[in-house]
Amino acid sequence: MSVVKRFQKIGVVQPDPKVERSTTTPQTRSDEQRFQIVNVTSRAVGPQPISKASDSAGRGAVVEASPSTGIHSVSPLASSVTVTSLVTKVLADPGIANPGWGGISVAPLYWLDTDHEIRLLGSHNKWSVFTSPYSGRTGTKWSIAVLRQRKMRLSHNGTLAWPLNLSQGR
Amino acid sequence: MAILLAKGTKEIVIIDVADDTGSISDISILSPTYDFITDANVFIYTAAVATADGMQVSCLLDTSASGPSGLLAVGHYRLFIRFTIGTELPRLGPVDVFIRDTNS
Repeated sequence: MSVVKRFQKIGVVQPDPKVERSTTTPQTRSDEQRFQIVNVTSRAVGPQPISKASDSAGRGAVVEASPSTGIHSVSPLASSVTVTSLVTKVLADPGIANPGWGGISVAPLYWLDTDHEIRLLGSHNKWSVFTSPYSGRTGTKWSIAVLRQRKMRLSHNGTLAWPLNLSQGR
Repeated sequence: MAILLAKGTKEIVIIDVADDTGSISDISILSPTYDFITDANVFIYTAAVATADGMQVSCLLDTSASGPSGLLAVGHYRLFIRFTIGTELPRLGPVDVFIRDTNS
């Protein structure tokens, strides 16, 4: 018995010659490709804008936005400033030995992971919020990076003389 | 696949790649590059060298004024990656990248 007849006998479905076959090239689906993109994420390496800020009483604070640099100066200096950002996570400066602390040696900034509070210690006329680590920083610069959909609380106690010029960007 | 970037940001977009055959486990040795293109087919990055760690390809996108095309406008962009395997040159994408202005 030939192979064809044997398969016909056990019920292998034969192509119906009356069925019109498509002559178009089937479109390749992504799940048929050998290589596929399975996930996409991002990691901030530069400044990211902060969208909104207000002081502890809910009053709007002035945010001097600089879209070109992503550096935002929050003023006037309030007892605390809440910054609502489109980003959610604060990243420690990679040059900092103690993760969670911004600032290099004076550690003027710390980050409480549990409630996402950032507390700035110092007395300044103006805060600038650097929203990411950046290369080329010096020991007097600090930076934070945030991801989306959380609130940060920036506050200060105004007791430390902090000679950082936070308005400086790169 | 889509990702949202704030205008003026400079970020590494990390793309995880899978090989159905399981024969490739490190793209870093396959000369990965990437293209970043506007909707009008203007190339912001053309065959820029990407870094890779295992099957993760990292593409640096500088949308700030210091970027290759200056400060990028809000809108939709496309990101492609490619690498070389013998005679094959897979080009994966597009990854939709949306740049938004969060200050307005």
